[in-house]
Amino acid sequence: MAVARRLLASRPVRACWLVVLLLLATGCVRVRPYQRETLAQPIMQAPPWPALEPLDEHLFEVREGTGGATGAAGGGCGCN
Amino acid sequence: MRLQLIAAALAFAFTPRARADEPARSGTATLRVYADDDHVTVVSPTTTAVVPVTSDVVVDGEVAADAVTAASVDVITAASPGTVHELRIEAAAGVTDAVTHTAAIGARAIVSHEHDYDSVHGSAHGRVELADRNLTLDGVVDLGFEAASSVTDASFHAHRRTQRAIATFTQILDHRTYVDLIIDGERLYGYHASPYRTVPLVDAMEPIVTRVSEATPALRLQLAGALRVRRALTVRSALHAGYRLYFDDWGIVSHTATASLVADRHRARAGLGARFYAQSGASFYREAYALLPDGSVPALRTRDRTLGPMDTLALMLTGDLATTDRGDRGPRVIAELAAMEMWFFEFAPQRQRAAITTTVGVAAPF
Repeated sequence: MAVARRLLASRPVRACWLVVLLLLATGCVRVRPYQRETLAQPIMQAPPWPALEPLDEHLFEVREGTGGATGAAGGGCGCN
Repeated sequence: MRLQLIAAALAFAFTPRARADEPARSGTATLRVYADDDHVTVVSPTTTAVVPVTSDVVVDGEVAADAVTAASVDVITAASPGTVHELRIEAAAGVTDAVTHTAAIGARAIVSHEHDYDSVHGSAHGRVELADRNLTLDGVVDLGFEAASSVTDASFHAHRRTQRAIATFTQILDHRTYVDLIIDGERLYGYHASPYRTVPLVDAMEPIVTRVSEATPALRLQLAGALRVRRALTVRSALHAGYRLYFDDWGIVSHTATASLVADRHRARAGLGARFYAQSGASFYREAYALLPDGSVPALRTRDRTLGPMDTLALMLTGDLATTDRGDRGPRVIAELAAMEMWFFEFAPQRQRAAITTTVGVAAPF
């Protein structure tokens, strides 16, 4: 519990919260539906190739010691 | 009057989606082959399908496999040297319900099986679009249970429980730019090591090296935050760039930077991407372990090179081609070629590792 409190109070976490607040503040920007033709293009979607994203994330998570923050929760793997 | 306004607001908030928004059925099939200079080869076929059940409800399913052939230095130095053949199978199913035009909820289950490992994960997710759909909030809560055994020791059984939460904020900045912020926290408790890896211990007084099993902390708390920008450069090209910071209570800090340029022309789309990753080692990771002065074994010890300081550089070339004039409403052939180089700064058996992956696939409505 003490470790969790230390993690949550650390500088990187506070920076994340600041970015969240700034992001929410930009909600004042309004792009109307008729202005979103470019945003709707497939090359603007994240990820551009959804079929490959789980494969790429699994590839890196197995061969590196960390992961996460990709937006999706995957399954488990005994790949160690 | 106030009650009438409240009733009107509730009715608006829970208005079901119009039938014109009904999604199409679609599926994908891909095959990836991974090979590296550490004598590891992985063949991974994957199939997915998305099927709308009603105008508001969509179900999706996935079946994937990893067929591994490994004579890695990790295997050679472990308790059971020699080439290893493993097969992992994963199946997932999910359902999403668009409760209104701007909100959706869903659930998903994933099960994975190998001959010495099983896992089951269940998650719930929700999405809401605010500010005239300029801001999208996504949330995922995932619970998992993983069980490990050993083919070399029938008495070995261990498990791990995971709890994870992910929040994603997507904001439209202008008519050409998205910004995404992803925050991901996970708590893992249980067995994190491998029953096949052993740690060599050096004793200054004896010429013999003894090997002991790995021992890592039972609890691991992880937190990662990523910022991603997607900007259209022209009508036909876009730049995606992102940065992720990760840290945990094992002392590992990692930085990931990604960038890719994506373009489309007529029926084809192509992208060139790069990814750089740098990681510090866990506080208890050592390139070599020695007996303590009193002759005892270090309480925490690991031979997992991915817990040591390392860097990764990957380059990806991706493309897809529509096979008909219907564009995304018709079949598309997908291909990707990627090259990876990994550097392990405190792992004597192999300081560098090079890998190549080749992926082909098809995505089509049906």
